Amino acid sequence: MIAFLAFVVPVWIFVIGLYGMATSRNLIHLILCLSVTQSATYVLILEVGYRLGATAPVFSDVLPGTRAVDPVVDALTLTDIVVGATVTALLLAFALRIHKRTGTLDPDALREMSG
Amino acid sequence: MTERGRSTMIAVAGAALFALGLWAAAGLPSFGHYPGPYGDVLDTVAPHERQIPNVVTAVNFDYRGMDTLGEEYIFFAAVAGIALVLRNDRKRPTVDALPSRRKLTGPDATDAVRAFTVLALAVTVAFGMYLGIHAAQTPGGGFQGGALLSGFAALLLLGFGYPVLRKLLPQEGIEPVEAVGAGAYAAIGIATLVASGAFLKNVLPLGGEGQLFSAGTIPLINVCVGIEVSAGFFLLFLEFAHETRVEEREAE
Amino acid sequence: MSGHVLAPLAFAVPLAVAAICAGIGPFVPRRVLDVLAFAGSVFSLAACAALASDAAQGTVVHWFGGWEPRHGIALGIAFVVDPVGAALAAFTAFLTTAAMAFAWTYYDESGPAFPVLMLVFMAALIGFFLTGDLFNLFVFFELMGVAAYALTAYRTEDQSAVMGAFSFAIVNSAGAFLILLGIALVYGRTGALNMAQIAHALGGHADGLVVVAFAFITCGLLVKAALVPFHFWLCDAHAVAPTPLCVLFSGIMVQAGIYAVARVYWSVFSGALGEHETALRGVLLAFGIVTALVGGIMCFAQRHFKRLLAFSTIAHTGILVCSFALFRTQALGGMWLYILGHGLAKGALFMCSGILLNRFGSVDVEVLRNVLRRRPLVTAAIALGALALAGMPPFGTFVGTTLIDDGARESGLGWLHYPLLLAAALTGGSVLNALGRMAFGWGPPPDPRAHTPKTETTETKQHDGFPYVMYAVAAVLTVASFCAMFVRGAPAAALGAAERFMDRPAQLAVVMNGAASGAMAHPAAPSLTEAVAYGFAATLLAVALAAAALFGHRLPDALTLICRGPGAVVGALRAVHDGVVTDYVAWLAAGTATIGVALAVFVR
Repeated sequence: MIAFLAFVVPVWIFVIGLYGMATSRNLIHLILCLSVTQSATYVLILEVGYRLGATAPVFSDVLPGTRAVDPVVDALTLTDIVVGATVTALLLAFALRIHKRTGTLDPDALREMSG
Repeated sequence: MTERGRSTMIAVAGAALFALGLWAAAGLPSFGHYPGPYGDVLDTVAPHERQIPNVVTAVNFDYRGMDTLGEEYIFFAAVAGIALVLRNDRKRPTVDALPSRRKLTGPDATDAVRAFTVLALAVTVAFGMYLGIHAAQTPGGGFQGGALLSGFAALLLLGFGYPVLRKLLPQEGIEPVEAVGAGAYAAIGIATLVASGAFLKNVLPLGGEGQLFSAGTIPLINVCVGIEVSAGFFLLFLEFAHETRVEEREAE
Repeated sequence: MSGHVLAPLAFAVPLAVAAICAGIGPFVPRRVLDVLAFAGSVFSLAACAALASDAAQGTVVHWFGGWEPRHGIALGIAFVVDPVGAALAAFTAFLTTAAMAFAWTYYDESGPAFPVLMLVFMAALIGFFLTGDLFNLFVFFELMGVAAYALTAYRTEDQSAVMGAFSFAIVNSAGAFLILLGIALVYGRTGALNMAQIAHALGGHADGLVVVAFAFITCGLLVKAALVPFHFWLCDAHAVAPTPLCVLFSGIMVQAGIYAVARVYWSVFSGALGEHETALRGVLLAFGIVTALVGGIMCFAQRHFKRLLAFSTIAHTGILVCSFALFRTQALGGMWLYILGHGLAKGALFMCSGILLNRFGSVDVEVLRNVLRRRPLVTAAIALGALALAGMPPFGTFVGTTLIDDGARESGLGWLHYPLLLAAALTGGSVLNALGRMAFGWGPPPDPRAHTPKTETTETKQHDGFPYVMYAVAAVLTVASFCAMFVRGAPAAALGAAERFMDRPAQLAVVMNGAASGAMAHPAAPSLTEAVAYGFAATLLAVALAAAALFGHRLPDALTLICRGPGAVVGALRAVHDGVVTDYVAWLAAGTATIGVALAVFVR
């Protein structure tokens, strides 16, 4: 039961990130909430590959064959982090541009295309 | 939609998603008991077959090298996009909401800050390169080292100001370097395809486990990634630093 | 060269060329980069076409890094190329080549970013169609996304372009993270990322985890496919993205989302969820029909020609999702043909909008009244495109619709034909409506109170001399879509490809055990001539709708009262599409929650 709480965490982070995004009043805040939503995926991916009492899958000090956690989820998370960082940077550049143009960062005020 | 309507909608939807997520998680194996088999198989075969202690690096650059190639190009495309968005703006005179700017200089830094920055720069560069090169033996790698090296640009900006940053890291020089890093990865893949019939097959000599030049193509790809990531981050810093320079002036 | 070698090359060569272009960009003239990029896309086109013919002989599997599976466990990533994936990859390369040719005279000057990002975008789509690994699919989804976000913001001097790109990026990224959550759940259960291996490990029974993982992955992919209520980003992005890019967006990128939904279902989940087909069908059909009708109705409310075309893409997404939801070979085969036919027609229409921008400086239909009066070529091209959207024979869309209807009738859902026909007629009719105003000046005078779209800052300038290249490329696409019905054996090939696509046990043998799959079958296809009447019915309806919009104001007032009701619906729909990105996120969450809960309740 306590162990199940580990899985509640990423689901909660994801949902609260989406909530933050939908109720945001500032584009920078919106982008950071997207980052929060993404960190939920890191947590879940790493959790499904975890093994209690096991070491990292780097066998320079320990013999190969020692109980280790899953290396694949580590690699997936690495990829995920890079993807997330680059998308965040791109979005921040967009937000910067929008602010320079219009002087505002409020999504409600920025209704460019409607109808 | 009104703010009220939107908040209600997201609250209800969020609650439903939360319940769905928990229902799904109930079907997962108990936390801390990864059942395999993918990870276990790789933990067993990788150290011996590729003479590499760090299995995560092996997964990243050998077993799942295609993912890393895609991710590299995501980084590449994003940096191109950022340069596009921030730079095009400067080339054409535009009508902006903010008042126009005059020629700008960076902030002044004291001698103490400069001295400390030089020290920090040395440590950053040395550690970043160390981390980047020892991908196979330690939990390091091209990404980690490249990201650390990018701190070099941030430190230069803080300690010496934007003009020095621009002079030491000229944009025209760095862009081709980034392109070479990205292109080399794809080229290595094509070369191995030609050499052995499988894209990104590890065809170079494997060396002994724990040595610096071991594990075949992995260190080579790792260096390409490191070059691309550091060059890309330098470009990012340059672009954003130029923008911050403008903002500072406005605050005065 | 065998397909085994071509598959990775088709993907990697454009990437290498993109890097070269970026590297030498500041030092060489712009035209050199254009030529290089064009060469790169032509190479991919040739490689994918050869790959498609190879795949028809037997599914091609390429294990990257040479890591063959051992004891039923996949160690590496595989490209699993069946005829459908290869054909769609070839189509992507074809559209990219056409778009680059179009852009040759369309753009005067721009940085090296355009050819570089276009090549990366094309490579990502090709990889997306060819891959057989779930996480690899996600990586290409993101790569395609990032290139698209950057290109959408290409005209940075236009404020709405950057905002449109921003909404696009936020909504699609949220969708991508949904996919990743689903992948994590599946990986936790099965410990595998290769699609065939996952299918084998999931077995034949679905529990909460499988249902929710399927819901999350499908909803994330349907964001890309622009299903209602995930579609808001598409309307904004299409209106502001550069025209050559819109050709690709509506021509193949949106359809890639639908392809991936079909791929993930048939290659991964069909074993576990197979017994719940009725429930899945119900949920997906509901959303598909709503999408088709909402898209069609909103089409008529647009003055901005590119935004009109964007809504028509959404309507066609609804049609495609409905055809997928039938879970039948005929419907799936029809879906592939429909994608090809629609892509060609929509690409041609976007190129026409580009010509309008280039020659007349606007895409506002009211501003462009009467400009096409003495321009028969463009008028003819737009008219043919509209008829293709409505599904008139002999266009590719007609062939696809026939097969889809066949599948619907076999499932006992013959009534499905009618809402889909209405949606197609709405889209075709709205383009005819726009054409009537632009070419003949018909239609009521514009309502001064009506919503006026922002005037589009010109992305392209008119040159002296006839823009042969632009007209030629648009003509090629239109003619290609027109000739679809005359391609002998196309329906049979589509059906055979669909059969291969749906055959999960065979895929397991081919991918994991290295068995050779036989050549693709060519089952008998239903006769097209019988369905011609239906095709013309759709066309007539489209013309009638256009006539009503153009000349309805001349009817006596009593009749116009009838239009009050639909007018209110249109008004409500337009109010919902308000351009606020936070609303889009709320709709995304609501849509995912609804689909997830519906599946949870009905999949028992």
